[in-house]
Amino acid sequence: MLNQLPLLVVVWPFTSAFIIALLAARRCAWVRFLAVAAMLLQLALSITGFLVVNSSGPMVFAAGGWAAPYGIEVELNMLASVVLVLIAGVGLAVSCYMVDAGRHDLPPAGERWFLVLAMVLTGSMSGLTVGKDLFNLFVMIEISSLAAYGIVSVRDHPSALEAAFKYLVLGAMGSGCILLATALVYATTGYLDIAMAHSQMQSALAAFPRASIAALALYLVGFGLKSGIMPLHTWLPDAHGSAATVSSALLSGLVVKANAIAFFRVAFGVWGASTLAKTPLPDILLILSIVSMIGGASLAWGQRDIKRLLAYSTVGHMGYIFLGVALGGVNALGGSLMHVFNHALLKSCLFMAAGLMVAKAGTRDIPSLEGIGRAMPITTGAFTIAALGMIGVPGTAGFISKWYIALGALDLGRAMPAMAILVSSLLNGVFYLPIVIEAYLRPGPYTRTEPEAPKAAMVAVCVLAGLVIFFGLWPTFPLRYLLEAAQALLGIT
Amino acid sequence: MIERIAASLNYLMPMLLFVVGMYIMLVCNNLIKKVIGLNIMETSIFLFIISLGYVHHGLPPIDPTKDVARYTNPLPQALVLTGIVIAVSTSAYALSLVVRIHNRFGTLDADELFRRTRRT
Repeated sequence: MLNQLPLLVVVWPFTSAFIIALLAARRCAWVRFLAVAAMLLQLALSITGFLVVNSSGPMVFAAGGWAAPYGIEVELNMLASVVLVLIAGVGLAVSCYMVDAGRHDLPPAGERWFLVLAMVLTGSMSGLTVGKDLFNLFVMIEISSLAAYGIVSVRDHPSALEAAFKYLVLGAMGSGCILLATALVYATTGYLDIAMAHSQMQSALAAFPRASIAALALYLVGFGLKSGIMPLHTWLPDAHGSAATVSSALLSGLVVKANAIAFFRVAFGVWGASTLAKTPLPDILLILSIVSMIGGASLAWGQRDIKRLLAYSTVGHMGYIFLGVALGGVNALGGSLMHVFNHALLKSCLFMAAGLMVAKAGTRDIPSLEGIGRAMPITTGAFTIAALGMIGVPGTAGFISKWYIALGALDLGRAMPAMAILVSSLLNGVFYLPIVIEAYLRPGPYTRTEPEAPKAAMVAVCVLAGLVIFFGLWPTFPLRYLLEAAQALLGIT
Repeated sequence: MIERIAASLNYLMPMLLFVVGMYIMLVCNNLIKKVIGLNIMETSIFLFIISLGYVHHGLPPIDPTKDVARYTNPLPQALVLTGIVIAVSTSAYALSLVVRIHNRFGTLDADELFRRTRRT
């Protein structure tokens, strides 16, 4: 049973998605708790996986008993197990929010389909983190993308439909690039398994230098489109901004990052860190990530719609995640993996807290949210903690990851990226702090009610805010293991 | 030169189709045409993958008593079969979204759609 764990974490969410889909047609109120229970079990499976990997090393499971070149293998290593815990944790928080606050911006039918799609999304992102076969990764990317387009369009609102179509067109183009790159890797190396393709990469680079580099470039464009780094981000603010609160929390918190992690695994797994350093990839990524960090934060500054502001801030923070990879080195890469972890907690907390504020205020216009902090002190408090984490104030989770990325930049003697981190953090402060200050200090038309927001949703938001502080003060859990994962990615043992 | 082009025709044509599909997706304003462009792009990749496994006068890789060196590679065919299923489901979802959009907005023009969603 335990040796099947790497596959079980993928199979269980899909199974529960079908169970929920069958039951959703009958009773809606009850099926929400089923989703929470399914996510709890998924979290338990992920934590078990993490404990096993931590004590006895990576687990490889060959599906159907067919070993690598003929069959498909899944591998649960340190990186995958931490990311799985993250996916299940954020998924659990979102499904708790769904229990009593989902109907604020979702129609009843949309609410049911959201639960189904959220489970499909969890399963496919888990598959994306454990998959060891390039084509299998492509299939998981497609499932997660289709579920992600669907999760935008379940909010049956004109702007959400338009955003979903835009997301679909650009996302499908990204998938096309990824499939073509996979075909090129198969054509040049003869393998689809990541480790086996890597073993043939040097001879492939010697025989087909252009095709091998073209595959890397196509992966960059494909995954770049899906994870929304700056020049390829145009769909992101629309999709994340106009989707329902819960959808935005999942999309901004997990989906873009699952694709970024998949890119790291493919790039480092197939080409290897030493080969990547010889390609133009680090320079290109450095420019793209600095543009995202500064550009995303600057564009967020000008927004009046709170959800679009949060969406643009995601673009900025994807820049941090790619910056660590562009720099290379254990500290920088470990920092960017940490940022994946921290930003998922921060952004899902921000989106859900903002969702509760928007539900109370009835508007997403930031100036109209003045004074809401007096009516909803706890929710606004959680929003404040997460906003401070986004800025990177010491004592919150965001600080640790930014610190490590900057440390990685200085290790390599490059001051520019470290300066860019400072500038971007400053910009984050410039647009996050006024929201918080005006929510607390200005008088507003809102009256305090008891409870100030739906209870289960409040619990989810507060637990996430608490985790932001916890991982800011005691960062050992993710940090130690993610630095280990960064070493594994870089091939340092 | 001609020989080189003829020898790599199976690489050149899919790349041409890929770019054509991508161009249609980016430039055409009609939403249905965007879906068609998506299909052209995906089909071009399938053609490329299928051509990887092609063997001249190939045999199906089933009967071990036959000439094993002439077996066609079955893996690309399996990949393309999976790819087609994914492409069909993506198109189905895209078209259902187009129907929804047409019901709501009464238009299939991307620019017009953009203008109207900014107003609402």
